[in-house]
Amino acid sequence: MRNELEKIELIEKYLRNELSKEEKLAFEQRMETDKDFFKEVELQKDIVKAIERLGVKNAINKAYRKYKLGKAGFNFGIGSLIIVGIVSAFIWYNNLNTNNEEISKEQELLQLNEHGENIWADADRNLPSQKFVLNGGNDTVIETNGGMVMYVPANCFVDEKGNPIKGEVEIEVKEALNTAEIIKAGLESKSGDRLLESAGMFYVNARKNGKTIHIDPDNGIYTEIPADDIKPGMQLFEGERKEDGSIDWVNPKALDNFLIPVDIYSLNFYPPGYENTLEELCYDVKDKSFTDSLYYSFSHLYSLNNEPIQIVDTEVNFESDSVAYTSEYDAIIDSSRLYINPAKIKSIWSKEFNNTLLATREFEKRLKVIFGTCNGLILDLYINNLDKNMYEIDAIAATMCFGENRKSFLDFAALKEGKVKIDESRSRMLMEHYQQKQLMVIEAARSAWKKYNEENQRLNDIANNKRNEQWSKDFARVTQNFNEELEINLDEAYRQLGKERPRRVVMPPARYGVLVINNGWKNVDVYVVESTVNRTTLDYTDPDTGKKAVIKYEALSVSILDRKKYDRLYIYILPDKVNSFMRLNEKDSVFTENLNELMDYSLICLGYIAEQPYYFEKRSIEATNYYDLQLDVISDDKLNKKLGKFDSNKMDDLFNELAYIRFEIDEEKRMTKIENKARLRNKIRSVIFPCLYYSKEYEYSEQSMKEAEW
Amino acid sequence: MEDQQIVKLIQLGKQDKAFLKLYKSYPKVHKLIVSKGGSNEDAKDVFQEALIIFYEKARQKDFQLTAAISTYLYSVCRFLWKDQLVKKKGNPTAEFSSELSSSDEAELQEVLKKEEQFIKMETVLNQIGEKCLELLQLFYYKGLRMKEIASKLGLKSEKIAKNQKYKCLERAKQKVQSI
Repeated sequence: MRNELEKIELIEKYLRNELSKEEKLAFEQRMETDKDFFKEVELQKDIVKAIERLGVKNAINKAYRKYKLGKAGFNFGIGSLIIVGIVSAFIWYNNLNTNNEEISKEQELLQLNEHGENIWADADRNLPSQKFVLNGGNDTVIETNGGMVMYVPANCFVDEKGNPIKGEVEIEVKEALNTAEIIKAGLESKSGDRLLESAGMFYVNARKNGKTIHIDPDNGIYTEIPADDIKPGMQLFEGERKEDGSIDWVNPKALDNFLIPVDIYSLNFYPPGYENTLEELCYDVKDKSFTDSLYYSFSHLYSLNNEPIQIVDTEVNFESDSVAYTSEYDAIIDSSRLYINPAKIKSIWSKEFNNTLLATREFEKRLKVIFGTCNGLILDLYINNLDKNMYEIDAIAATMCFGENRKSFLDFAALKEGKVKIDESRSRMLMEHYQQKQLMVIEAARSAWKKYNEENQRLNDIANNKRNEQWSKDFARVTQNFNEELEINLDEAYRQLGKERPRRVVMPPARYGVLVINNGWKNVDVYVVESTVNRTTLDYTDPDTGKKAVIKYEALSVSILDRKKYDRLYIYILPDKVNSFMRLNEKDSVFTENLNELMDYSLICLGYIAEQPYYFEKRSIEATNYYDLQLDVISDDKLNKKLGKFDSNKMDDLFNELAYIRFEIDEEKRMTKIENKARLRNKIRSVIFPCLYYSKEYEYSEQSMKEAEW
Repeated sequence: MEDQQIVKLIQLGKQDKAFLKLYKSYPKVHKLIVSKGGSNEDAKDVFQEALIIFYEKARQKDFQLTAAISTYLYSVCRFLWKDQLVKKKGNPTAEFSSELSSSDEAELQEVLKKEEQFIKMETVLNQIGEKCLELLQLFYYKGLRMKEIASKLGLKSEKIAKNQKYKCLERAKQKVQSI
């Protein structure tokens, strides 16, 4: 490998002219004599070239994307929507061009055909028909070969009496969407004396059972025509047959720009940056129920509109580096200008608003700007005017803000985007629905938050009680251990001294500061107690008899391999003559205790990484150093079994201890969850309410923006 | 003149801007190719190939502008598309001439041969791994220094980056030799 890399380095130096004269000479000689080497050099040269070329290709691709983006944005402005109000006629979609010179070279003047009737026949013959069969009672979308899209609403075909026609209906479409086809069809491009620059024409006829039927004039078919060139000022012309057989194009009508509603759930009504922030924090943004519930849970923080801000909830005061208005002075500022309550969004982002102005991509675009203004009143404007043209509302919205936002609304208004048809009663009903639903959402969020807090409090109380209980139990256990050990030591001491042990109550100094002893025996007892308390060797000589009482305590130390990786570590020793276990203390990663030579000890080591237990046990340990003991993974089941093997008294205490450890692990999990939630909310809050959480910068810029406006 | 500007941009290494400007010539090419049986995708690819060819030409020190760039691009695209049609159908469409002088055509044929080789290498190079590709492009195309590359890619030292570069080159060599 190394050799190979050095060769590559050498070749590179040659290709980049970094070799000295002599080196270069030697290199070139080698290329002459060694054909394989020559090939390698060429190969490397080519590869470098290919890499460079890849870079160029990427740059070109980037330029292409930029280019396309510009085009597409522009294209969006056309819309090219027409209502076909007349059936069985040729309809021109045209740009009125009064200046001859502006005709592009690709347009050619058509020769009139002298047989008037034949014009129709020619066109009929020359243009192929496309036939579509659909059900008159359903909404249908038709796409023609040329890329025309027609949205045929349900019940748009009517009979002579005006009754909607259901059942099978045949639609015939002829289209001439580019110059070649128009010329082939032998069609005129004149309106009176003026020449028209055409962008396309189409013919539509509808029949049922062979009979031509009519389109309901109140309904109409929304049509989109693909157009490569952006031509503002396009108009709709009707074709009028003249006696000499030509067609005059008359009655230019401004195009009604109707918007196509889409499924409101396919749109994104979240505030800008909301999903991105969640993604950065590694949450699943595809989980709609999560993203929804998180967003709407912020509804209850602030009131709806036009009311002074009341900080409803203490969560706002959590550790965060942003501050909300809290003083009365701040409340005087019109609060509705500072935030968009998520309740408003929840109220509109539902199927009731399908097939309205709000369920359009156009509105989705405006909503992003509305979020930027933080003004709930602008949002209300759109909802309260569902029957109007979008551009009309845009113009009013522009007057309600300033700066960049105002410019955005003015740009929107210039697109002259239209409306979605809706009848008055429905639009009124939706406005009311909107008002009520917001209040309901806020109430729901408020009660959910209250419940969450109450539950947390309840669980906190339970945990605290449990901890107190455990502490008491533990204290009792340690006291009990001591008493039992003391008894054993006293018995042994007296046995060694060859005396009888008087029965009296000896209180451990740990509990009471006073020792009750009799004269004469006090020295022995005191020494034994001291020795037991301190767990140090007893070495006592009876002054009278000279006999000795010796009870040795020897040091045990335990250290665990890879101690750092364990979240929790517990080391226990189980003396055979005492009824419970002893827990060892840790200092500098080493667990120590002094063992009483009179007893036999077993060692239990229990470690946890998160919830996973690790275990080691050893019976009959020595008073020595146990270095780097390794704990093995164990299942909870097996762990129970292992502990169950110890004698019954110890077993009970051990299980109690284990249960308490598991409880603490669960509590830690619970607290972590709560902390994470609070952290998430803190981060998201400033995304959802960007105008509310201000830094000194915002305050300053608010001021300067106001100055600029007035 | 705009064309002179574009050439200058390329020679100064500011080809990104140049390419964006050159896309003004795209609609005509698009129309041509679509009218001769090509798809949108074909038009895009052909135009990109023409841009690559033009770019290489413009980078030569002795390059002289002899015609409008848009005309040149259009002719090259015509030539490229004709070539592709010949390959696909084996029979060039009758009224389709490339409108280039024979010497220009010959030159383009040469260029095209080399390009085909590079296109083959391209697919193989994509197999050496994203990180390797990025490193090599930063060094050879962007011309960054090893120090900058090391910090950009999160490599611990200049030396390690250099070594990595050679390793990537080696991998590339192996891959290419296998085709």
